[in-house]
Amino acid sequence: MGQYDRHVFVCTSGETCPTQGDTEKYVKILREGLKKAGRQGDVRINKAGCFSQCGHGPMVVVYPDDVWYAGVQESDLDEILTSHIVGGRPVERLRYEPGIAGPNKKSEAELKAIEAAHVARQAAALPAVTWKRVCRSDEVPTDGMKQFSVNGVDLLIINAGSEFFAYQAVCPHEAFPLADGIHDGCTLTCLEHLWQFDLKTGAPQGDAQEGLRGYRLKAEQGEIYVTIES
Amino acid sequence: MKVVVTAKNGTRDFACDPGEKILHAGLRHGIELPYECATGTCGTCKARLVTGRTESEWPEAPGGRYLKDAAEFLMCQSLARENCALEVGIALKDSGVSAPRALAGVVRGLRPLTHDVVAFEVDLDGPLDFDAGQFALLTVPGIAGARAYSMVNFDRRAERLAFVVKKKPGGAVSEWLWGPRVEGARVGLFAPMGHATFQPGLARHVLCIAGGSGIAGMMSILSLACEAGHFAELDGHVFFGVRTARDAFFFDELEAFRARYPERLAVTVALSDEDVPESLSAAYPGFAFARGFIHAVAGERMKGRFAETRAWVAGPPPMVDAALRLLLREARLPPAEIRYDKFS
Repeated sequence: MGQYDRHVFVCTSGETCPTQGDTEKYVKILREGLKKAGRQGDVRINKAGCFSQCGHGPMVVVYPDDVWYAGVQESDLDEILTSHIVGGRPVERLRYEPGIAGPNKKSEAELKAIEAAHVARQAAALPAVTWKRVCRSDEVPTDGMKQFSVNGVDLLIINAGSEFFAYQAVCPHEAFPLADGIHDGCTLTCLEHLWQFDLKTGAPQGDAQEGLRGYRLKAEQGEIYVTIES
Repeated sequence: MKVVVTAKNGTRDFACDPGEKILHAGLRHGIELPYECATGTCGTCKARLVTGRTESEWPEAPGGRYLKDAAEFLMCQSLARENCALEVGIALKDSGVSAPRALAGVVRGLRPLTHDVVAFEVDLDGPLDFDAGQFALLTVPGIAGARAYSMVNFDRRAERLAFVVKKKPGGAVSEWLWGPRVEGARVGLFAPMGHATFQPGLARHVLCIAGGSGIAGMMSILSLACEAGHFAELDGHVFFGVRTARDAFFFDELEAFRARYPERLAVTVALSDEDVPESLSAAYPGFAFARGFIHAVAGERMKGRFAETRAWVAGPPPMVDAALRLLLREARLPPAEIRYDKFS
């Protein structure tokens, strides 16, 4: 006889399960549920490492029943807890029965796809970037540049043919309008004292002692947007 | 008064006399404060006052539009009323030219070159060394402010500076020059100024693009380059633009330079406002002539020949801008090979 009636393992530090669900949160939810049911003394919820079944997660294993669950969603936890962990009846629809013993990882390609989906979800979860509309793309002639004001910030929009760039509107040297300068697709030159800047990075070149402040820019459906942090 | 200037690469201090512009005081002490026109227009000499008190002699100077707030001021127009601490937003460099100083002289040899251009010399009280391509700030008693004019001549230990001035309607000094009491008048000078210089021994072909009285500094450069034998080994291309044949001047002097190095030194004249009269091209068979803007003519005729070239540009601001565009974009000269001073 072991120390607990049931011992539950949730993969939180394998390579794939934590990218398929917030398994740290699963642990918390299960522990809270046990507490509510007054069973925290005789059931133990453990954070676990890899079960070598990568790609089938998030994975939860319950002993001594030796029941493995695959693809567990947050919404499944309550059923697993009440039916199985507390009630003793395994949740059949979530059972993991691959038909082979031992390690059973998905292919590299499948795991990569899972990782990519995770990255995409994370990016989507980032605080939304506020894009401000600057102008129509065709307002800045090809290989030209033009000054605009967005939210009181003066911006230089450069059309480098295949790409647009956004920088501070005036030269950091003598505040001369950079739109009166020239660019050749690689280098932006202020015509006042010939300070030069890398068109792609705003970095100073030659005599220039300071670089340009750049802004994130996107061109979408013929419109140009930038992000301006306050 | 003591003035302390903090730049990005360190702190320098110098004494500033009462009534002396802060820019002049710094330059006279060999401190390369930033400037371009030195006459209140370009804004290049702006500085930020940290402590002390300064006073502008020309608060309405057009260069004031480059100042961000009340703490910024133009050093070329301002006096120090107390000991001052200033900041300039850039690193001070060693300019490699002689420090300017205040001097005086007497106007001699005033003569018209065209209907609206005069030439004159100033006999200096003491000799002055300067580099070819530099300018002087000229002050006339009774007229506020200084005017910048390029030296036409080149002499070591010069006792005389030669200038050309185009008549500017409403310009006080310009009107004084066309007035009665000019010959023999005493004028003040602050010189030498400017960075658009030519040094003998330069291993580059020389390209001069000048509009109107912008030819002045080119004459000084050509004078030194001819004397130093520059065009025995390297090419010279002079492009001189004027409006019409009646605006032409210095053609005889340019022909004299050309005739010394006919193999290597070429002079091209462009008239912007009329076709070239046959009488003009016949009088200067050694020149090439064209109708058009001088920068456009230079761009056309120099195509594919910009390698190993250093360019000097002077003239009305729109012409200078157009020439800079040509040299950077078409000719792809690095900025270090382009020399000009913007004063307008």
